[in-house]
Amino acid sequence: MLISLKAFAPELTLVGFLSLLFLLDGFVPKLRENRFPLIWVIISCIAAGLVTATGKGLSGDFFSGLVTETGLVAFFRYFFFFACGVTAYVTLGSTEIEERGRSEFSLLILCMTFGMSLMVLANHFLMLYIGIETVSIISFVLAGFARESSRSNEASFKYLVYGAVSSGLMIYGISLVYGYTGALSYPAIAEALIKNNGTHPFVFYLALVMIYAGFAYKISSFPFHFWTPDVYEGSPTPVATFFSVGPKAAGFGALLHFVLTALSQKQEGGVFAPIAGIQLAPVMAMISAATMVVGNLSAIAQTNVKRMLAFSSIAHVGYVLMGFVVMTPAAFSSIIFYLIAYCAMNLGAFWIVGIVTDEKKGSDLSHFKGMGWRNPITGVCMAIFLFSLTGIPLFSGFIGKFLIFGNLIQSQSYLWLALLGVLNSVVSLYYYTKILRAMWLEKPEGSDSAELRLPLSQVIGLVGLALPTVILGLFFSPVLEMAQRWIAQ
Amino acid sequence: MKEAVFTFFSLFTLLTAAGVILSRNVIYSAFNLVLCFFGLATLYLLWGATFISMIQILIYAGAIVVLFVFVVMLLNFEKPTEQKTRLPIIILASAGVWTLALILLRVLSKSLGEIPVLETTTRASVRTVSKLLFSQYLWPFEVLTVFLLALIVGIFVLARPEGEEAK
Amino acid sequence: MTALDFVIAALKAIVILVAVIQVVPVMIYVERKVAALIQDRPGPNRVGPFGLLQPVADALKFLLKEDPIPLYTHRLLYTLAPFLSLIPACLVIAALPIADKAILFGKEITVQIADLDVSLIYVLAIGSLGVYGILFGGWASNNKFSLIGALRSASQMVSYELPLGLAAVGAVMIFGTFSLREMVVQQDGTLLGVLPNWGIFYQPIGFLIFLIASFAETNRLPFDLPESEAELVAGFHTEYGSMKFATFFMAEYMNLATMSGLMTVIYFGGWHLPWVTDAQLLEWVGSQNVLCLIQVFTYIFKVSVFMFLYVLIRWTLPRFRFDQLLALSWGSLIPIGLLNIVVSAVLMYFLGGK
Repeated sequence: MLISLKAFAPELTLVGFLSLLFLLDGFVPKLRENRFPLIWVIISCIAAGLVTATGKGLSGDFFSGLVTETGLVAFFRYFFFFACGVTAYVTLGSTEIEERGRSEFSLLILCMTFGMSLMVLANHFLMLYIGIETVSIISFVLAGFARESSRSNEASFKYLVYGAVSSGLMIYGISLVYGYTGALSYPAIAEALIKNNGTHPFVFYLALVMIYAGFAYKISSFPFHFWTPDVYEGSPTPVATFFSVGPKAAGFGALLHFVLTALSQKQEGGVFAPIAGIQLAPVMAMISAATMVVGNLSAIAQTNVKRMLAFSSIAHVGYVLMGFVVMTPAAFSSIIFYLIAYCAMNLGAFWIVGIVTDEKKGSDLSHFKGMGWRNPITGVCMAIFLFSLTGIPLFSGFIGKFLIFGNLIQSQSYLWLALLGVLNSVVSLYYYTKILRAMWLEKPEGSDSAELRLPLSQVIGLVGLALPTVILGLFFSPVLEMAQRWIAQ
Repeated sequence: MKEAVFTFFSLFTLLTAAGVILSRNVIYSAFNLVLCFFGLATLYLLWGATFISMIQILIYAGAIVVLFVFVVMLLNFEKPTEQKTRLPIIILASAGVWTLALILLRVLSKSLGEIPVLETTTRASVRTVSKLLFSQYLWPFEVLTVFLLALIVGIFVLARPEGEEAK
Repeated sequence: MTALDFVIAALKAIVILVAVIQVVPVMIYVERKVAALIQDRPGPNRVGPFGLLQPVADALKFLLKEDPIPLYTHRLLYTLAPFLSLIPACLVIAALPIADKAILFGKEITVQIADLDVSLIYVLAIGSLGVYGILFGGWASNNKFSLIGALRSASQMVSYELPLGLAAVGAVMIFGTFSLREMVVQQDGTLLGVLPNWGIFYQPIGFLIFLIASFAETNRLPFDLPESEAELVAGFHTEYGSMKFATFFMAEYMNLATMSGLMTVIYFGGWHLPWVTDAQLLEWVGSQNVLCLIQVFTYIFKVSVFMFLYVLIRWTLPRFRFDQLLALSWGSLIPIGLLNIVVSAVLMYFLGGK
């Protein structure tokens, strides 16, 4: 049992820091100032990341099969800690999270990171559900953090209702799967499925669809994506930043883990094939196509940048889902690379949106007018992020898309999906450049044309995100190799 | 005998659950919800899970629905205004409901006839539950504490009175 | 289950239920007489010698009086609410162990309607359902004061369920079982040869918390705000006349009896006489049935002591203000309850066994 605990050292570090924050906050009121809780979050994330790095060599099932440690899990841990740390950094400079709420905010995002790790670690439906619920419920609170804003309340409420419905569906699906396979842990489910040799009752497929409902809600894929625009638009921007990266990646990680462990078998050559009788590929292809199309087409009509980015994130989910269609290790490592690239560029894009929202108290396109001239660094960074999101060569987004589409093409099936992906990227260029046009090609009105000075910390942060986006676009091999190694474990 | 009891209580649960949705008055919905939870508790009893059934009544029917009723009474809902539903929505909704009904009918027609009254070998008594909870399922149990902490902080965030400085 | 078992179970249920319902008229008389005693006045002395037939008069009044139904109430819930209060009050009695076995009809019968292995949770669970009668009664009356009374009462009852449960958890830890019968059986004999082996000596703080919480659970002074006679007319049962009011009344007294029963069972040894074990008694008396009778009387005596305590405190202490009430529960009783659990656990670990 104690050995199992060692495997959770990163999560336990998080919990330790979080409890300390809670206690310090309660008993040492002086520390409730502006910066301390958030800096504490950053410190804890770094610490947890370090612990993850030093804790190599432990893999397998722990806690009697409730959780597994694989390379995949390690990657997602780094990912979540990074996302959490950056969000805290972003919040430092944001006025949307009121000052007296900062320590609660910090505590909540730490707990949420913990929950996200749980989702990916889970090897058992119980753990998965606990993880999902932790992340969801904390998200509801975070979405409604700006209590004076009616949009924030609306966002929180919508998130809640959607979350409740999809959680209910998911639990129902889980119970049906339990009824059919008699087990709740992924490997046991796989065993039971293999025994049935290709013919599964209809109930099982229904149950799978329901379980996917839960996942789809978290990653905001079609048809459970309807909450995304409203929630991203209504939540305070730092919160939206976290949402667009954290829970999404957590959902993907959990989905990956679920599909790999419960629904597929490892064939020779390291290829994963779904267990006989489960037709993952066509279903995933259709969902991916629908998500891409819905995301991109809806984004065109938007005038609010946050909504636009929300729809764009839905579209990106569509791209990533393509990796699930062909289940080769190469496909999975391309998913991981895409997630890394997506993390940096999305965090950066939302950060800049946050800067504009802070200053102008709104995030419509009109508020972006002339930002490029008022603060060139912001403009350049935004350009980098948006081009990367589109998938223009020279940037990491391009490499990510290239890898994912390439896998599809290599497998000689679902070529139409790859084509659809490329077409969608072209469409996305339109709305991304709308933002850029507002920033660089339009002159702001009178008093707004003053130069905007950003604190140095913010500038460093932005550049810190922009650089990898560029560098990854050029020197992607090392990261790709790391991804492949992670998958192989 | 057991099948008869099971059928009766399942029907009871389903009917009261339907009552929750179809009641005109919100308070009647809450009342039906309590009855529904009662039905569920008896179903748990049929499977030998004594602990869970009592906990179900204690927590769900005895505390959570009370809070629901509180909120309803405090908010004093008025009767909803009559809204004419538009035709496209009606068509879409009916299509969805019919599809679901057909799916369910197909599923049921295959498994009707065997009412799954589980033959349990181990009663889910308090002893068994607690043994499992502290050995095999210890990690989820402990993890939930973090969740609950976050929950309490979250509630505080959402319900904090305006303009208060104290924690 | 043979037919005989069924008949015995039904008989038990009827007998015990009817017996507990008899508490109500007795309490009516006792309450008013003791109140009079404390307030230095004669009390009921018109109906029968020393006013002993007062409960009969009250019952006749309830039965014969007009049963008004106000105009704008929600008819269904209004009529249902008193029974929503009464039903849980009656159901809970099923789990209370009154005496050990009696031998009738050649079978050993336990003097308890239902011997569940989770009877403590059962009692707490069904007890918590009593809130609904009050809530719906207050709301369906279409009367703002009733509603306020109902909401206050409900929040009070919900708040005090927690300390009640926590104190019970302490007892569960000591006895190692949720079954009330088991708890009583374990309270046989003496502790350290000097004290009776009763729960209160193991869990004194737990008992205090349970006592205070039970006052709040039964809406009894000093936690009387929901029916505060001076403030809200009669709180949630303002709009209820004759029989429905009587039903609420009955439910309240039966709840009292139940809480007293719980306290004797968990903390005061249930049916055991102090210092004397059951085996010794059996030797001395000879017959199992006579022993059973003695146990029943012991139980009734102990319950009566508690009921008297309830009445005494009602007429002695002033009422709590509502925020004081809630602060007491959440701020004091729950932390103390939790501390009690921790300390008990630690002591149990170090002293080994019991």
